[in-house]
Amino acid sequence: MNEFDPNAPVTEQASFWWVLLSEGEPTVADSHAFAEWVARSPERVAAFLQAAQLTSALRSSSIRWPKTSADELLSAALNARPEIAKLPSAGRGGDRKHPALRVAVAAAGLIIAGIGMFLYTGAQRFETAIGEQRSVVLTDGSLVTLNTSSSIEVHMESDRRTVQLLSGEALFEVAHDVARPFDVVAGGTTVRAVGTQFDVDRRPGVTTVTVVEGRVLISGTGENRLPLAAGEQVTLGAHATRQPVAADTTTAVAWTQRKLIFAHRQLADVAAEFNRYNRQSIEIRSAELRSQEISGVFQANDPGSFLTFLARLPDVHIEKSPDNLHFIVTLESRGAGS
Amino acid sequence: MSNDALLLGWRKLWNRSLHRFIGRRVDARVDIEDLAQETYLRLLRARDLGEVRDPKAYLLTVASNVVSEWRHREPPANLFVEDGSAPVLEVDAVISQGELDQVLADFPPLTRAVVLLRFRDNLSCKDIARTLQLTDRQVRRHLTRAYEQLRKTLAP
Repeated sequence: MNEFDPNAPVTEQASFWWVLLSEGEPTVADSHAFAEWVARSPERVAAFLQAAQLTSALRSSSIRWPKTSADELLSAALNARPEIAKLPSAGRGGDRKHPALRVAVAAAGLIIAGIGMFLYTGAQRFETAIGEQRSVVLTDGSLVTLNTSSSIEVHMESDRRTVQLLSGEALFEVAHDVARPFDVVAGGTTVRAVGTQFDVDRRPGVTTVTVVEGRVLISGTGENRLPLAAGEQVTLGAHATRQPVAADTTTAVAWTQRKLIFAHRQLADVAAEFNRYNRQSIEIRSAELRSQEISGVFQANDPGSFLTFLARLPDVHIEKSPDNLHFIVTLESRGAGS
Repeated sequence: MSNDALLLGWRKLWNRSLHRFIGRRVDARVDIEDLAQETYLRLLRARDLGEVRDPKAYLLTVASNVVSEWRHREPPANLFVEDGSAPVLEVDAVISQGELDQVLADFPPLTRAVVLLRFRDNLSCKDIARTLQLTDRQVRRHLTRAYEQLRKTLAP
């Protein structure tokens, strides 16, 4: 609905053009339309120049902006968005094409969430598809960011908050509430927080918890509670130790910027990471290649850059499936061929 | 309508303010209407704006040249400068802090977030869209609406 409105006041039309031309990616047609619009009267030129003037004035260092942190702005803004705030995620997809319906569903969601504050009933479930990431503001104000192909189930009760991490990975920014502890349950592992920020990554057989801020308590079946502080990470699973290690929290939550950061990781792992984010899959067949270590930063949704990197390695052969969705990477046996 | 006919029409209509501006001292504050008037006349005189690849940059360059001429009585540096450059219109403009505080307080949370992230934190529209999970278009719509209110904050 960002279409140009010929009936709007001149200043509004000017703002539209100014924002489109200075902030957007105007097409040639846009430029022509603007030229035609502005050349009709000095009044229009004035309104347009005023918008330009306003922009440079707003950049002045003498302005005192509210100190509201970016995070606070973000959560206030996200809360104000009906389609992601407090909306059960059931039925994604079909209703996306109908904004009016979506608004209705959002309103219904808000009402349900409102009732839920008094009478706890069911759980809310949120899911992401492959390559999708999304943030959800829970009814208590906590913000959960779901990574690709992940799903959670949220239970809000009067004396506790429980989130089941059914699969995948999520970053939790927990709203402070001493009366209601916040538990994340991933298989047999429970991570308890009061007000903090931490990442839980659940893979088959292994769960990794990384604390970005504050501290959490981890418990599993029949084990003592394990405290974990900011900057620490622990990997839990049948074959993993319960020994916390120092972790680079920036790397652990780099996925929120769709970045994959690898430090001395085997190519097989790197390929597996890309496969989490993309419908195209990369399979590395040769054992020698699989165990080769690399370090680097990639864009998660750009497997092409990784394939290009692989193609540059000596003797590497990449075979593409006819539907373009599957790539098989092998080492050509040396000396063969001639 | 040809450029010439338009030009004549507007000259007639704006003659008074044109004289007012000519009679003014050079170091006087730039009146946006006078600036627009002169810019407009030069646009019509110079060439068909539709042929310019980046009309926004072109228009700002012309306006900047007008201002610089008024201030320094220098000939315009490069009337035909266009594409590639990102001219900033250097016209004195002061934001009234009180008005700004009021306007910001009245914005819906999403619009406030867009404005602060854009102008206070200097994020690009694309980054803001990603952060707030909006489309680029939606971010621009919030900005366009915000501009309408923010115009009030420009001190006269």
